[in-house]
Amino acid sequence: MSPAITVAAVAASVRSGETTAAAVLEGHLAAIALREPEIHAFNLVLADEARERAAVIDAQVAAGNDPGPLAGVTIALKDNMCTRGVPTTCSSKILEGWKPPYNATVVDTLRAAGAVIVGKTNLDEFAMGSSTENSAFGPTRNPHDTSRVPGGSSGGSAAAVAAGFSQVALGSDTGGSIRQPAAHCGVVGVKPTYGYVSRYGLVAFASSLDQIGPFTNSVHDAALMLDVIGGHDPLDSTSIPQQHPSLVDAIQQGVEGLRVGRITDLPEGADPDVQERLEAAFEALEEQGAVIVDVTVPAFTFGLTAYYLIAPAEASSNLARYDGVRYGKRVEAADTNSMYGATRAAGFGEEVKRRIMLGTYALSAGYYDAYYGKALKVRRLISDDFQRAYQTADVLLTPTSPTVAFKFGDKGDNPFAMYLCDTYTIPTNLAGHPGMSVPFGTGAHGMPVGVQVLAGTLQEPVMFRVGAALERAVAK
Amino acid sequence: MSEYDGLPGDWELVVGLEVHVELATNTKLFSGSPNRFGDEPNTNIDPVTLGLPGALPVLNEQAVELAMRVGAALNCTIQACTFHRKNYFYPDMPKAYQVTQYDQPLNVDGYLDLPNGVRVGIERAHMEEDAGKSTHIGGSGGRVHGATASLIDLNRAGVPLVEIVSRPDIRSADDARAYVTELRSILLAIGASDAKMEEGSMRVDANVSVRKPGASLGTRCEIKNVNSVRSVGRAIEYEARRQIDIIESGDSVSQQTRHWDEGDGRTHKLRSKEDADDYRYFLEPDLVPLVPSQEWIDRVHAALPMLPAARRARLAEATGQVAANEAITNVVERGQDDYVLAVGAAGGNVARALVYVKEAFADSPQVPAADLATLTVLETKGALTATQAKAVLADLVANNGGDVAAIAAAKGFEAMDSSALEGLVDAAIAADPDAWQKFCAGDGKAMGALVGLVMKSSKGKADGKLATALLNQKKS
Amino acid sequence: MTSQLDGMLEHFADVDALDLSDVVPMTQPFPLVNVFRADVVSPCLDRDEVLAAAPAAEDGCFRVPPTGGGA
Repeated sequence: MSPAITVAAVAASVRSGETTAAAVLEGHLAAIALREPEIHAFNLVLADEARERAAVIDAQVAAGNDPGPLAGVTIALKDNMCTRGVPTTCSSKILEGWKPPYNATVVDTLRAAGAVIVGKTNLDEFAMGSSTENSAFGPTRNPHDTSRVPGGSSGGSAAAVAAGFSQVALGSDTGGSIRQPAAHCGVVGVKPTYGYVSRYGLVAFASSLDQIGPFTNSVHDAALMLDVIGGHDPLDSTSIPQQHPSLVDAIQQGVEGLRVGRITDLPEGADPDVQERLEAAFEALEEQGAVIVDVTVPAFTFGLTAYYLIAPAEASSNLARYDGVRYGKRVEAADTNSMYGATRAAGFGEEVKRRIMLGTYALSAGYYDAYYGKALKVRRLISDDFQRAYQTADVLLTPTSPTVAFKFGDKGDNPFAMYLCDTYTIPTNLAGHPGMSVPFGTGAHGMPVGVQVLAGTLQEPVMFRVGAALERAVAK
Repeated sequence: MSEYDGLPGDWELVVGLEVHVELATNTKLFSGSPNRFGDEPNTNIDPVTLGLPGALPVLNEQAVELAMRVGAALNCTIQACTFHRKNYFYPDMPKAYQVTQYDQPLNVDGYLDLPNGVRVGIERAHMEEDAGKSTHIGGSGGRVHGATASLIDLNRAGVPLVEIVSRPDIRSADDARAYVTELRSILLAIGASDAKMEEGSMRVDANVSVRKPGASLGTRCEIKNVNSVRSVGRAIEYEARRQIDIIESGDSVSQQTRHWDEGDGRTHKLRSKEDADDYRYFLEPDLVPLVPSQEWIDRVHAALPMLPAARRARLAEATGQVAANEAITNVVERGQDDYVLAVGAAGGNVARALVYVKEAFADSPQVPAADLATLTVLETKGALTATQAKAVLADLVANNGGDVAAIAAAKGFEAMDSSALEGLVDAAIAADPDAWQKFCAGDGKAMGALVGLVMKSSKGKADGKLATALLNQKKS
Repeated sequence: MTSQLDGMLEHFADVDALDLSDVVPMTQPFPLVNVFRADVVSPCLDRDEVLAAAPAAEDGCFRVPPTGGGA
């Protein structure tokens, strides 16, 4: 599938009868057959179910009915979104084979819009990781270079779009898990404002940080996806009540006069090739009429510390429900306490265990103030610093990741080395702000580089305008 | 009046009660499953109740309304509040955490006045969700000890609770029972709960300690599994004596949670303070703060019905009794006070009506208020003696009302008018001038002889009290 | 693993230099209050489907080994 074909174009073709959902699907299934054994983007390919669905959509069109704005559009879903009757594993042994009895709200929304779900994609176990190497079912490989990671935790979804297995994909982003793999795989990845998209049915990692967002081949496609899946959900108390303006409409506007902020005190550590792409991005925006301004976000550098206390703390509580009582894996024992211990020891991987222990510690009596409590205050500083920066800038531009995609096993036995991958993405989640990664050329080893556009709460329209401008620059 | 012996020596009992009350809503606190007792196991379940991956809570507005009513009825301050997670593992806890309120509860600093006038402070009354139910099988008597397995029913999981925590202001087992009884009356009056201890919709835990007068608070033990009002008294008495025995033998009481066994009439250690879990409380990120508007708070206060204490005061004033009077307490408890006042409104004597109602009716009187009013008038006027009135009353009760004058006539209770009575009194004086002289000189026994003559000559129809009054009148 | 966790806690010491005394903790990314649902019954899950996914079930309940203590 050529990336020049947009989601809007596919949906229009299917709705008009110019092409069929079945034909669209077969193209992607062929790509899957060809490269999936090598890439392993999926935990589960839903070929039969997708064909059934495509047939239903084609029948609707034939009957003169409108299947919806995503008619026939193929989509892959990160395997931490509940799909009724279809295994949802979070790439963990503890949920291996578990079939939810309900759909996540986004799944219902996509089906109602006429989308065709082609499969559940691989991830770092319970979304904890930056390379998809933490999956209990084997890693996913970067379609641009299969000796390299696709990024994480939504590596499968990013790879699926990059390899043409589906036209779009959904991932989840808690500390960068959409944006970073998007950058590594050369696709667009967006984390919207916290509360923009419903979290009902998204298996929780860190409740105050998680958001669902799209992977696409173009900024326009991402705008359309968010217009469809965004909006209030009465089943999610943290869901923003107001209606969102259309992003597809917003990106019609250019960036003339927009103020693009350069964070002068951004933590160092980005590779030279990545830095070079960022500079090129600033130039490209200037050429299109944007104004570059210097800003500081002093607390940005403390984002990693605050995140690696808050996220594991919330995760330690969210993952306590995996106790072998009601669903998932159980290791039998003589009493329930032993059963909990044996089940979780066998069911969770190392990184998950590490974060649960860290999170439990950060919340425990006597340590709360020093760790979790302190991290919440640092979070406030970060939010305040961003707010100040957005008084003089409309968006901020940073690298998405300090490096291009690294080789498997590169981070070795050092978890902290892996955590540094998220240096530039994490503060956005802490503040609840939107962020997007736009592919902007290549760097070392010919690997894709992504540039990150950040904006304030509910400033998706201006963020998308800048993303679209960057995309226009690359296309030239 | 008390069935308890009281503590030996000058030992003082200090009791605080924690009462969990299930709110009478249609649905659960955070999801739409029915809130119903007695249904088939695991039929009132949904993703939130089961703690399924991806499920999210949304607060039941009616539960908040009822919880505010409880706070208002207990004279609490109703305030902005938040929800916290209380983390611990137990098979009937589907999420391995309970959503509750911690440092910012909905209702604080109230009080409850007992019928005897004692004021018990209410520290807080907060909202939280209930856990499921475990049935232990394979052992003896359904107890945990010796069981081979546990069966978990999650119908009750997620039911809305209010936890009412009293200050340690209760000083006797009788007062503890009175507190529970009064609390139940209040809850029923405001429609917040059906408060049935036997069904578990009201559960009482007692914190018991003892001390010598003037000493600081002793170490307390928490007593659980107190399943009836009577058990409240028995368990407290037992525990107080247990602690006194320990202290008097030279040991000290260790802080423990103990289980009341109704069968053997003793408390048994469940766990010690050191075994207590660290609950790692933190703010629930899936919910948002609850900030009741002043307008909502005012509406709740305005809509409160007349509460038992106010009913007792009203009835006391109307009947010229003190509010702590046993007849008043009983009649209000049985909900008969409106009826008594209706008798007064129909022209009857309220004080007499109070006595009649207390003695003749177990619950809702079926006799029209006007009939009872007529009866009281006849009695107080002297047309019927107290004994005669009682007989007529029995008739009224048996027939759910009737024509009082006709009933009296049928029984031969003619109304003896006052001139006829005066005639009989004069005749008695004339018949026994000796007795009359002694009576005038202050001999009370002589009056008895004169009254006896009057009764004899009237064949029992005269009213002894009126005759006595007439004699006194003539004496002066 | 303990040494890895110790190492991480060392990294986290970077925030010790900050003066956080007047800072209000941030718990909510988007400021919402008073989100409610109406007290209306919504459809329940099918018990058979749910228990079929359970590791062990008996008599319509989830079956677990004895709890051995607790309230």
